[in-house]
Amino acid sequence: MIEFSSRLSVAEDVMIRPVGDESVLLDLKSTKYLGLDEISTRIWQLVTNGNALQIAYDTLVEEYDVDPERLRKDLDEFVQELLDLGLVNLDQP
Amino acid sequence: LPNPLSDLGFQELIRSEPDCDYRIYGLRVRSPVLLAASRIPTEGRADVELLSGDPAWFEAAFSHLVIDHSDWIHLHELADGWSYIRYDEMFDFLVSPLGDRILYRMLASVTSGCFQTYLLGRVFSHALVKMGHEPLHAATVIVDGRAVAFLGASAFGKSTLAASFIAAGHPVLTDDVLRTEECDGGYIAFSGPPCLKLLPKSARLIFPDLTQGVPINHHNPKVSKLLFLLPPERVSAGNAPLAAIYVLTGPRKVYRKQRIVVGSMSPREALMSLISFTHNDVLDSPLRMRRQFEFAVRLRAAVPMRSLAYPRIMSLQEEVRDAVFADLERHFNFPTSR
Repeated sequence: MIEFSSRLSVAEDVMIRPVGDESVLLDLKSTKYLGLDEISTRIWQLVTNGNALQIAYDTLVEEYDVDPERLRKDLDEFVQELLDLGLVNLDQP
Repeated sequence: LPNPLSDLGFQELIRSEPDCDYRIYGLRVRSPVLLAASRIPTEGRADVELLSGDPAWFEAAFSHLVIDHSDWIHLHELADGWSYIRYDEMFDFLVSPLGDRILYRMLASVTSGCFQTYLLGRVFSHALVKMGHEPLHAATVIVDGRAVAFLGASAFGKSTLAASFIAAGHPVLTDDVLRTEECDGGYIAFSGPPCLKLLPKSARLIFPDLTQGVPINHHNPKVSKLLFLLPPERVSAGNAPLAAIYVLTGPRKVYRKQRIVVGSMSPREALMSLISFTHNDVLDSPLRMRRQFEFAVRLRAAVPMRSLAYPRIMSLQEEVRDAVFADLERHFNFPTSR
């Protein structure tokens, strides 16, 4: 599990642009594009805005009708995937 | 002047007099080879210059490469920033790092039409990218003074669809390579050479006499398209505002009995289509990738995009064209007269 007191920063070689309610992300290292749907876009905004992941989690609990434990697990997986893809850096507390 | 696309040997069309200037994709192109394109007075510096290259340069480039002999097209970025593009048994090219010079060498006797097809298609689009442009893989027609582009990969039926618009009196702006740039809050589409590459069955839509077409590749029987020089009334030599982009669904994704569907695209789908159908993904430096991404984001936001799915059946072409007309009227306020 990732500590929710951690913060994320967008990797240097990553560009992201909003398109409508969604986003498209370009990883210049792998030259791959990734699409983020509306919810993923919202999560990306919250986890990469410089605040601790806990704040992103708290905001999402308020914004979405979701079981808190399920959200914690999903958010952890989402962040882990971003880290595995090298799209974000983890700044430990 | 001889018909530049006539089935003559290439050498017969080489000029011994000073080079000619042409306006192609909005650029001044200087060439010693007669091209089927809009001639302009020769003056000043050319944006792109076509030059006969020293065979030793090509040999030097070729000798350092690992060539995949299962393919007949070879495209390599050289260490010094030049690009080497070879079409086996036809010709090869060297494109300068800034895209402003294209050197050619003949490997066999081919028609001028064949030479022009590859030069002004893939090779030129390579030069455009190096110059900082982002050419799209699109055939474009003029409707009511505005450019309507059909975006898609090779063999998606773009040129055939353009031919059906010609048959209805709407000229072609460009076939295959679309250069478009921001202008006054919108986008302007630049005209390409006045030619259309068509399969014989598609060419019959507008050319009863197929002998007017020149084979674009004598050496590869898989490439059966013919190149047609379009008469002036079937070509738009001027540039036009880009009014709409239709993204063609791949032919294999459409069943033969499926109806024609013109639909909306999510912004993300539209953006990814623009990126997918930009020319030359082999040029993938971070600088180019950033530029391509930003270009696609801006173009997507400025020009409406729609999807177009239809079975690739020749007898349906007219219906497909009418569906596009109806969509243009309904969504983009095009006049109802066709």
